[in-house]
Amino acid sequence: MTRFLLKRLRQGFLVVLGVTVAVFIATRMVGDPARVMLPLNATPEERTHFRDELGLNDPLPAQFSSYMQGLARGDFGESIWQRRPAIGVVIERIPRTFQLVFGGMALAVLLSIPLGLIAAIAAGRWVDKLTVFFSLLGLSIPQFWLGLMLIIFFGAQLGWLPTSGVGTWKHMILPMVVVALPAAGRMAMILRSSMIDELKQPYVRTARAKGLSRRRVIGTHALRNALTPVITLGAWELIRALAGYSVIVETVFAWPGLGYLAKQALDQHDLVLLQAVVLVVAVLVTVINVAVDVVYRAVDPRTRLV
Amino acid sequence: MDQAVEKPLVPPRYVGPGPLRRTARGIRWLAREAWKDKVGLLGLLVVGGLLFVAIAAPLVAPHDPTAQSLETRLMPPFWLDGGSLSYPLGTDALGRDILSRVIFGSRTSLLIGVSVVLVAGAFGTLIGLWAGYKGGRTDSVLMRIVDTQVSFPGLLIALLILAVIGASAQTVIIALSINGWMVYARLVRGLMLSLRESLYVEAAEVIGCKPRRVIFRHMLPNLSSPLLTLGILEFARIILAEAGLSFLGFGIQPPATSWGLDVSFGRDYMFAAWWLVAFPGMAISVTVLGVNLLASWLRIIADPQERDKRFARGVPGGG
Repeated sequence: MTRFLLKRLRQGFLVVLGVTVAVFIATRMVGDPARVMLPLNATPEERTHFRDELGLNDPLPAQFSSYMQGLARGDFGESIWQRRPAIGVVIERIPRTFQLVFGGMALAVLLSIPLGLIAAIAAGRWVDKLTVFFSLLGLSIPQFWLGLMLIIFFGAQLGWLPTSGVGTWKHMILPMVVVALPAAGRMAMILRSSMIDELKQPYVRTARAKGLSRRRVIGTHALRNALTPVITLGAWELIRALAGYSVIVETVFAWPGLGYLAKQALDQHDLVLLQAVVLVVAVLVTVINVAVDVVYRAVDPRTRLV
Repeated sequence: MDQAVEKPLVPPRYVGPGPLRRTARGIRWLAREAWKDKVGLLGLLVVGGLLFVAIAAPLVAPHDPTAQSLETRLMPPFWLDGGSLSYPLGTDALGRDILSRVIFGSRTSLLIGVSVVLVAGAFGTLIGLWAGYKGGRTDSVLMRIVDTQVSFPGLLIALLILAVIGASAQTVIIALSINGWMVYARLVRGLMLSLRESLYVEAAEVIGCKPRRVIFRHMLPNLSSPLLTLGILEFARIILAEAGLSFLGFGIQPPATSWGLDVSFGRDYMFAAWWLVAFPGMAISVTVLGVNLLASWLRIIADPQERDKRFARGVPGGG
């Protein structure tokens, strides 16, 4: 177990290192931060001064080493927009994003398990076809559009729910539904497929033959085995929501998490802050990845063989 | 080996039906399969419709998508009060015809989708072929790079790249390709590992084919079907990604048109004029749904196991 954990942590470290290097290449070698961050009417003197201040006139290897040394000390630079250390701004936003992403995924699991189960049991019949169609629809609708349409309908027309921001539990409903829907569609499809495979297995027939009820055979015996790919996909969905979709969903609902912060940093041309968001998200994703693998190994003995 | 010597070294070449007839036969078979599965037919129709509308946009669109007019600002769709049939889906805040903008927007989705699938697909396939054929050290290094990049926060890095180099159609294609090549590399490499063991590859090597010929002439054609399905699925994902980037303001820039861009324009007026947001978003959803239906249908007709699941009736042992 310790060896496995060390190996996974090493891989995770590589990912974080890769992201750091990618961010450095993108911000210092491909583009010119002075052009992005300064207003269009900045004078040449202001530009030179700005470049000096950020050390952009140093040779690239020197820039890289000071950048890496800063990161190693936990110094992500000062946010130009907020005028304080970027890392603090980023860390404040983490709980809100976690609330949204974990809540959304819990909802996705609650939706997808019954849907996938019903579709698999009724395979080939119209209930199944309808479920498959709606699952595909769920994963085809762009999240920003779904969010806006829900705001128009439930927020403005019916006036049942608040349209943006945070506060009461009512503020959470719409963003969580938007995070959950595409994931629920994909998870229901996977569960349907793996459940159909499981129901063909001889052990299902045996269990039925020895007199267990249909409900028990499907609900306990088959479902447990069919859930393995769903868990894998669920972890993947969680990571994707955290590392990407949160930007879109949080922007639509003005939800003050990491994704909305990334959008604000982009709008304020604050590359220092954006870079800090990207790196913190990379670390979070890596930690979740390792945690999922550890849990997986504990739950499914087969993975210990590899 | 004794028997082989007796046979002529060059077997008589099998002459099958010509390419034209083969294509015709293929199309007829596809049409029959599509008719049997109405969902697949729907996907085929949507994708066909998208292609037609995108190519014939100037002929189908009733107005110039960029023509502004103050007199026709924020007109509702024709079935509501104040609507007019000359602007069937209404107009936006600058008086531009929404239907025409949706029609021209299809070009952007198609262009970006196809370009990214081709660029990322070609690069990923090459890496996958190289890793899968070479094996050993090369394989483990390449796959380590793939694994590392798969764990990247892709959308955030794409946004960072676009913020730094400036957003336009070309840079969106570059940013999304950088994000998307890994899936092809993984798929191709996995399939190559199993193909590597097959007899015909061994045979090709034994008769002295160079690696390049073995890879491209003998192995690559056998990967075409899974690659096609993956390409279509990725096409759907790319359309959504482009729409998302354009919605955030870091994708397609005005005066070019894009469905995601139109949704973000409409956002400021969404409580007064819902149609600005509704129609471009509907276009994205229908397109992506059609492409997804097509991909799942293609997988079904190409894979007997999937076909079994599609038409499975009743549950064995579930009684």
